Amino acid sequence: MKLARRDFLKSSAAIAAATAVGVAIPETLKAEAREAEKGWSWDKAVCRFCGTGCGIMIATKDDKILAVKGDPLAPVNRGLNCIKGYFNAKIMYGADRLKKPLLRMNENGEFDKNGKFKTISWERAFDEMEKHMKSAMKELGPTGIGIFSSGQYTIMEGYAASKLMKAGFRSHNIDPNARHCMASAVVAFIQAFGIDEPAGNYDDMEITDTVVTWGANMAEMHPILWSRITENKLSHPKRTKIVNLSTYTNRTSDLADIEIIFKPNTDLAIWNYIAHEIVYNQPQAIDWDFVKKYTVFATGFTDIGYGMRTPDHPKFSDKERETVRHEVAKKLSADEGKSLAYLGYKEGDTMEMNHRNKAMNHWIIQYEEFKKALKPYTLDYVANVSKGDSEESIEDFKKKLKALADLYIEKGRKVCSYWTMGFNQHTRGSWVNEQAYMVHLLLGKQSKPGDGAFSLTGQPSACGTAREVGTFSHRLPSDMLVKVPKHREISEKLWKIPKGTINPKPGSHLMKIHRDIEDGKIKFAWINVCNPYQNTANANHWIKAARQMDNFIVCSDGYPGISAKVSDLILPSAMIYEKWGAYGNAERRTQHWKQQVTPVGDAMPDVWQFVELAKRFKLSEVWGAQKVPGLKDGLPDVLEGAKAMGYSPDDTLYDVLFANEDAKKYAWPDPIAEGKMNTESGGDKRKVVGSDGKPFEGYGFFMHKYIWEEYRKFGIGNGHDLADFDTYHKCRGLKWPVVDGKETLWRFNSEYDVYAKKANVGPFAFYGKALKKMPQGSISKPDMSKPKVDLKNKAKIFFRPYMEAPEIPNKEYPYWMCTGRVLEHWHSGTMTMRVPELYRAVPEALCYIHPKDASEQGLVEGDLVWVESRRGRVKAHIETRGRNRVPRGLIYVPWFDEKVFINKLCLDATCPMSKETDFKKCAVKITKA
Amino acid sequence: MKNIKQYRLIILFCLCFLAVANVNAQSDWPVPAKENENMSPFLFDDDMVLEGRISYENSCTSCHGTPGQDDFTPMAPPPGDPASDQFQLQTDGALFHKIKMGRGSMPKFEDAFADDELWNIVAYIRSFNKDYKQPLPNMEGVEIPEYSMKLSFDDNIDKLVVKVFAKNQPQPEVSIAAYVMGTFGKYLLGKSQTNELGIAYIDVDPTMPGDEEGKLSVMVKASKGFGRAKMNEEMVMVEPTIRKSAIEGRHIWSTDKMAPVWLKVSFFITVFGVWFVLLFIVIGLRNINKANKEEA
Amino acid sequence: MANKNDKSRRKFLQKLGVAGASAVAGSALLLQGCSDSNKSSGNKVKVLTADNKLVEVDVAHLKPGDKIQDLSYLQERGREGIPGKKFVMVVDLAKCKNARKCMKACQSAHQLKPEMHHLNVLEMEDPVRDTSYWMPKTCQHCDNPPCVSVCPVDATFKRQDGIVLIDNERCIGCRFCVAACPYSARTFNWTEPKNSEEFAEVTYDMELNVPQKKGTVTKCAFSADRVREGKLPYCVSACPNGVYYFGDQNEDLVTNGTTKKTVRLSALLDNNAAYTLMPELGTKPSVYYLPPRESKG
Repeated sequence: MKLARRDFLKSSAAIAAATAVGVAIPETLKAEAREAEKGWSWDKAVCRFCGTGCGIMIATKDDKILAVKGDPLAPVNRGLNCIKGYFNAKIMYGADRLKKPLLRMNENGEFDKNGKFKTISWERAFDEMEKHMKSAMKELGPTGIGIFSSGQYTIMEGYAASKLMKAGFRSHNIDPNARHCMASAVVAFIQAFGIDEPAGNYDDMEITDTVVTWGANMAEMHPILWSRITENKLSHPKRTKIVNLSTYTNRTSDLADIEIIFKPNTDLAIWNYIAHEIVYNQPQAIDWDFVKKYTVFATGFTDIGYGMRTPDHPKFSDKERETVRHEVAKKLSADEGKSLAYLGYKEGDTMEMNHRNKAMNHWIIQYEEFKKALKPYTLDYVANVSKGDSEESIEDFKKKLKALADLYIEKGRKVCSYWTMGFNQHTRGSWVNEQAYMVHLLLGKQSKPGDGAFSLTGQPSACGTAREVGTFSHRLPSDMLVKVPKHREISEKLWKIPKGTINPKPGSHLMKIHRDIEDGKIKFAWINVCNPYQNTANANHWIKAARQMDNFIVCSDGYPGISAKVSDLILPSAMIYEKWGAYGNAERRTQHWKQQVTPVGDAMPDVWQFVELAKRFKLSEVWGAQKVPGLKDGLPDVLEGAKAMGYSPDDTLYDVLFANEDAKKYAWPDPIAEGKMNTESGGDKRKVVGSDGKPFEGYGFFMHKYIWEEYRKFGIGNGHDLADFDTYHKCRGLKWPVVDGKETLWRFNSEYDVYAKKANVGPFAFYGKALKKMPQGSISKPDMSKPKVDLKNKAKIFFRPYMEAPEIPNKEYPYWMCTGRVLEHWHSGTMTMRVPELYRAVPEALCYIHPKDASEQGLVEGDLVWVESRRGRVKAHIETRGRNRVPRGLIYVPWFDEKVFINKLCLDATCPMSKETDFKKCAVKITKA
Repeated sequence: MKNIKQYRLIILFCLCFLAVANVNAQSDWPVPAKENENMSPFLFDDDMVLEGRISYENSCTSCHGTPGQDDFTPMAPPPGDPASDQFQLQTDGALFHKIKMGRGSMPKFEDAFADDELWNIVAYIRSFNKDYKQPLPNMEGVEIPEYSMKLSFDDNIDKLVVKVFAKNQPQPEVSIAAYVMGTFGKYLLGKSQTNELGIAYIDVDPTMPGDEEGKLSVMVKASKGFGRAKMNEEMVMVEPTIRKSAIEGRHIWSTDKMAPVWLKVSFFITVFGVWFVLLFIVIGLRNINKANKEEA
Repeated sequence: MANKNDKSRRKFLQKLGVAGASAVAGSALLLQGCSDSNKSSGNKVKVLTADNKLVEVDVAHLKPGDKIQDLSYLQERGREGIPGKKFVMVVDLAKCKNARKCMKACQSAHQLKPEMHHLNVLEMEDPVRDTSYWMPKTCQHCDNPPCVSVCPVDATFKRQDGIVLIDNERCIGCRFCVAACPYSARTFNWTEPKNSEEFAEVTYDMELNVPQKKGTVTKCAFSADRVREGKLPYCVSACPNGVYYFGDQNEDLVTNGTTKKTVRLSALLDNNAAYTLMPELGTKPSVYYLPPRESKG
């Protein structure tokens, strides 16, 4: 029976969805679907979008992706997808997909920063890159170049970029957009546990009795996980409780039993209230066995500034200085006077930010001091400080806070706390993350099934690529740090490079790369799989620096977003299913996929771009002695060491890093590929003319497997174990550490975690090694005369006080502005805005405002307004009744829309410890446009 | 007879009433006490009188006529002659207030003139009163600050930034008025006050047309108490605009040189065509004539 | 036969030669006459030079120092106009109370007899509301002027600042333009203009159009002479009721003649539903009218 295309697509989809939900399908329909799908080849893959990491099945025919459905065998989503996931097939085929390299040129065909983009060959593209990189490195050394790396890279791409940059160019100016996303969570993990990434996994969502979402709109941002939580709630309506803490009402509130609308930044106060409630009013809830055996109390400095540059920087405008002057000194408000009284401050005092460079320092304190510091956080004080909705009565709010505390404290009640950007994109993000662990550790509700603080990841591979591979300015693979000589040695050994190659000085983090470009300290930057000129706060500064100053910006992307338009050279890049890859999701599950189709146009995968660039640099050009600003004696000459290892100074970085003997051991084709193509290893049918002017026919060996197997070596034996390459292609991902072929479900719990069991200190062991030898001190400062304490297998319970945001609303700028996302669009919209259905669903970013605030200003729904902060202004239409219902005095604007470039307004204040930008708080005013 | 007399009485009564009403009109305009007592911070000198005369002739003559000549326009209520007692008996502050705020047919000049320009006009009016002695405020112990200004443009948020200093110290709470100088008058951009850092911000509409470089001619006045400062500057603040001439291009109404090509071509073709035809006829006729003669 | 023709041809050529020679000679004499002859007239005057020396000079060698007396300069200046500007006028009909001060100022400035108008205030009927309002009508200085199209001698022209002027040195009085103008903005000097003897010695300036010439056409010129000095036109400054706004469309600013307040042209037109007269004719006038709405309060 012949079917029309729409008919069989419908029936296909219906069957897939129905199967996932468990509905019976008539046989005829199934037969029809099967007929239509003749010639389709299904294969498993991972969704391109959020950190949930759903498994999907992709159908290809004639080298084109035809269909996507949820993977019923994937434990994460069990056959369900959200609306973005279903369009994974369409994101590669948007109308303005980049197909050829583009360079800004003048009429004579020379590079000209003010020229228009014209197509060039790959060979010319690499020539330009080589020229500008070499000139930047000649002028400024290895710190003169930078890479904007990504949490959406595949693990192989991240590893290749990191290796090229750190081992090849000896530069650590590589930092991912995950800096804007998870950096605060990472700092808290390392400071509290000594090792990165959550202890629990997604199964907690079915097991737990209480789900508390803190500043995380899970219903829109992690929809599949929310569906699992919804199932839990609907199956146990009386037992399971859901609490949504947010600065505005969102879709997550629809399912919540308690909704707490709090004032921005006061999440710090609310956690301390819960701790106060435990310590002062219900001390019996403290699990003293757990706390005494496995934890210590700690605290750090508070006068650490806000991660901004100092007000004397020449590029600040006068208006900006009104806020930036808080970076050096701030007058304390009444609320801060109370919360910082334990350090001797009072209201009206000026706090001098003396410890801006010592923000990470912390030390051990005693329980009595911890208790004393929590004294001011009574219900009255915290309710008055944190009530966010001016139309809510204080009594109602107090009742809610007490109910929240009681849920945490209730004996036998399992509690899981979830958070994402609300906590991380915060000027005290590391602090508030640590406070979550503080409460869970005090109550002993951590690392147990259904119990635990779980930091949700935003990007698909911020965990897998950025954090685990270490594509950060201060990290090496597997949680190792650039600063630690032993870690550098290990990396140099595994990378088979001479001792002393790796630069001992950490590089510039993402915000600093932008600032360095503006200061002329970086003159070459390469953007990979991210959109830094749209996603970074205070965008006017960075765009002006890129366009007007002497530098060369390269952008590898699939679509022309704002970053591509600001760049000088655009490289068309293969998108997700056009290359082999692997992602690691929020619950530590690493999932691999194979290349399904040939890339569009002349687009080439990022791994190929890094490897081809490596061919242009000889060892003699990069491994000689170099001056590095801030590093006494600079970098040593390692060419002698290289010769000793059998390399010649004329070898290229390609020969040493990517096409060495180990690499060539992995033959291509490989049986695991099952006939699927591999552009990097074997070339593809387009025979794209590559960087040497000749058609590219593949490297001849299995590049991805080599990268994986080498990367794996970093993690084995230190708690980051990964399985071998082939295994991942036979299953739906595994949660690391994978020891003896078995994944780890709950880390630090001896029952489930092999490493905890090996530690042999009882039912738990926080075996993370970082920051485990700490000084002692009082509540206000460390006492270096006392000996350092060894915290092997212990975690830290931090005390952190409440502090205000650096920019708060005043008469001139009366609104808080919070930025975020919507369900239908991913990040900066470069992919989802190109899908007609998603675009139609949400074509523009709206400014969500309270209807009374709007009417007081004479505005009606849909009016066009100027939203203006001290740093910039954009126009947007207002929405008074949308999916996000904000309280009075706050507005919310999503950032996916190029036309409403809201990052021009945001303040580039960061958490001084994690360097993560606070996108959720700045002061704006609204006027009719 | 009676009727005529009655009519005359009525008319007489009406005229008297009108006269009284008219006379009272001017004095029937109360001024708040604070404004009444307001005094000019400047001494009325010849420069002020001259400036005032120019402003007066441009704006006031049409209704008030030339002072002293009683040639004001008949209106209801009559504007009156500024040199007359009606005006001169009022205080400086009252005159200043009435010119600034207006009432009814008397326009409000607050947006057209800055405070010092209004005092110029008062100075000019007073110059017609020989007996006038200007009341001066008590200047004992008052130090008149010398203000200097620095202007810049913040293009992130489209604002004109005005910094006011006196002896290198930033001055807060200084009133700032910023104008764009147009061909015929000055357009008020906005009024503001400097904040505690001595900086005032004034919105600039980015859709205002600038010159080819996007420059606008800006005039900023600062005043606080007795301190004054004024600054003129050309600043790039808006998009550059190319000024097109109104006669660009070829139109049917353009002058000869720029007439549409098709018109020129067809015109000349027609003219020469007609001449050619005429010539052809003439020559033909001549040939016929000749042929005739030869035959004859 | 051939001879005859030859003879006639030679004769013809001879005649041509003579004609040509005489033409050349004649034109040479003519040109000589036209040039600045250094012939002295015999009359001498004493003048003071720039460096304070007293000298005696022949009158014939003196040229007018004041350029305003130089007709060719004025003609060139009048044709060229003011670069970079485009003048527009906005008339607020809600304010016009038929004071006719504008007309008085215009008539006196341009030497016009009472029945001749550059600017006329008309009483317009509003039949729907059975009421009337006063409408001042000037020349509209159209961007597609029908009067300019029909002038056979290029006497009337539009210049780069948008003003349509008449050069009465060229006007032949055919009155095609008077017929062409749909707004009846032009008028003809049937008789000697007012006070013609008084102005007889004044050099003709087409921007002011004084002295008027009998037998030529005259009309509103947006007071091109005042505008050149940065002053508002006569009518605009004379109005006591705030009816007129005048300004430069390129700057998007217009100034009110009575209050001297300057406003954004685009905002004024958008917020008050401005219209032009007879837009369906496609003349694209530069004069905008704000409707005679009821004033609030």
